[in-house]
Amino acid sequence: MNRWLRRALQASVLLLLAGIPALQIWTVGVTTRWAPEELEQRYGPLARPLVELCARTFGDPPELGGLLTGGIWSIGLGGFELADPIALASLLAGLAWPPVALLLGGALVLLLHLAFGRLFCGALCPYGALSRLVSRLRPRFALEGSLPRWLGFVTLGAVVLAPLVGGSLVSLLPYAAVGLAMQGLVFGGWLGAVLVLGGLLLSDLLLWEHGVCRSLCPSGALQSLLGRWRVLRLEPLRKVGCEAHCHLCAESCWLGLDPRAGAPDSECDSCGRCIGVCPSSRLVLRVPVRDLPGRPQ
Amino acid sequence: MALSRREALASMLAGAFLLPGTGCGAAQADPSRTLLPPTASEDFLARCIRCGRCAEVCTAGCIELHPPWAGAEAGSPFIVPRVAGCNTCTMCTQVCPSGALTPIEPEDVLDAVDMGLAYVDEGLCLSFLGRVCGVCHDACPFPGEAIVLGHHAQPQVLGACVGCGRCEERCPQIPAAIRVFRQDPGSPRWKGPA
Ligand code: SF4
Ligand code: SF4
Ligand code: SF4
Ligand code: SF4
Ligand code: SF4
Repeated sequence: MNRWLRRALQASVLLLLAGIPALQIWTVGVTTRWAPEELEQRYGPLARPLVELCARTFGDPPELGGLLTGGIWSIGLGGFELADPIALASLLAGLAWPPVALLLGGALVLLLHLAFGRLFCGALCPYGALSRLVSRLRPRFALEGSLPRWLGFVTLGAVVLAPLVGGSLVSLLPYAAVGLAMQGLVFGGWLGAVLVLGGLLLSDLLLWEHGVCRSLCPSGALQSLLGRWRVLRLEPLRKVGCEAHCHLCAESCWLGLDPRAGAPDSECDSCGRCIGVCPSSRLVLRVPVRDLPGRPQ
Repeated sequence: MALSRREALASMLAGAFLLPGTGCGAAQADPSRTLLPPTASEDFLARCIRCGRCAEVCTAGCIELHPPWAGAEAGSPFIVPRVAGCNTCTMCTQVCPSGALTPIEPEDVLDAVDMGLAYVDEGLCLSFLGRVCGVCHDACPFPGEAIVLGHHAQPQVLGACVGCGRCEERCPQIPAAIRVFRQDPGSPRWKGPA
């Protein structure tokens, strides 16, 4: 994937996550005519400045109240639902039958995971984008090394089955924490989400580089599990050779993969960073058709 | 690098066994100190997917979310009526994606909503102490139906009370002379009709 396309997608997701709470508080603030002091008392620290700014700049909010809500974990787009399949799975694990809209929305995302593997991680995940930013700031004394991959599956099992013990671990999910922190700053109760997000980013900064995305995130684990069957794949061309001692692709891969050694496994998120750095133009992202008859192997 | 399916499955099972250790299922000492949003289902904590969308649209600013360290309730919504009561706009019920809240329209509130029941402490209520107040009645979305005023504006809560908590929010007495309790006789806050 092109670098600018990737950045544009990541930026739009972050903007959406910040924009939805802003739109909602603007709608609530203007339509209920709360006094500024009342807003300050009832909602979070950003509520009053946001409502004042939006009302001054744009006047009355569009008639969207309730039509655009939520975030990465569960989002409602005017009656149309999208949800993390993990949310759906945890509902089912708790023996609660989800409403049809949620079922369809979760199934659709599940299909996307099946078709594209971890593409969400590389192109859309708000935590992934922040984690990339943070990795540029890693100090020299930061810890080298990595966490074992199976940890992500341990967290996946725990998050999905949490309703069995009557609880929920959603507040700890890295990608949910980004949205919850923005929500909390606008609607109140920001401390928990900000602490979770800060802690995760700090571990990326000082401990294991991209450790959350590579090893801890349950969604990353689920997507890599489903990504075995993905249609879009990064592949090294067989006819082209690598330059001697070149390891640029492996160095550029944020998930710690080595495309030089052959097509990376289902951990690859098709982000295309390695494609951009390869001096021999050996790496391509494509729908493999090698099994078609008549195609040279 | 990628795990085999078997390894992945084993790790997930390990996660399930570690669950009790995370404390994520720990019940709060006294959940009845708060109210749940209107039309909350019987199996609310199992149904709520912790999306926070109800809090985003609440026009009373009364829905808060439990912090990550709140055990079984972590991430789920609650209302503290003394801080802010629900104005029964029903927006939260309409955006809830999981069925934890059942969608209703404002005209259904009186029939469909049962967040708790308000109780007047006659030893505290200003109207029973020789003054004339009646603020709770005026704050109620269903004055005359959920709450009526007698002599000297002495309030009496009727069975139709939906438990929205507006009266508790607005009661000028400190502490509030009218308070809303989840209808849970086992709870420590239960001070139902004697
Ligand atoms: S192998 Fe390439 S495309 Fe795959 S995750 Fe690494 S950098 Fe991105
Ligand atoms: S009905 Fe309206 S005021 Fe009451 S909790 Fe729901 S959104 Fe808030
Ligand atoms: S909208 Fe529904 S599922 Fe989401 S947090 Fe509120 S009650 Fe839970
Ligand atoms: S009596 Fe109080 S809790 Fe009951 S409906 Fe009226 S304001 Fe709400
Ligand atoms: S608002 Fe409080 S003090 Fe006033 S009448 Fe009602 S219960 Fe009594």
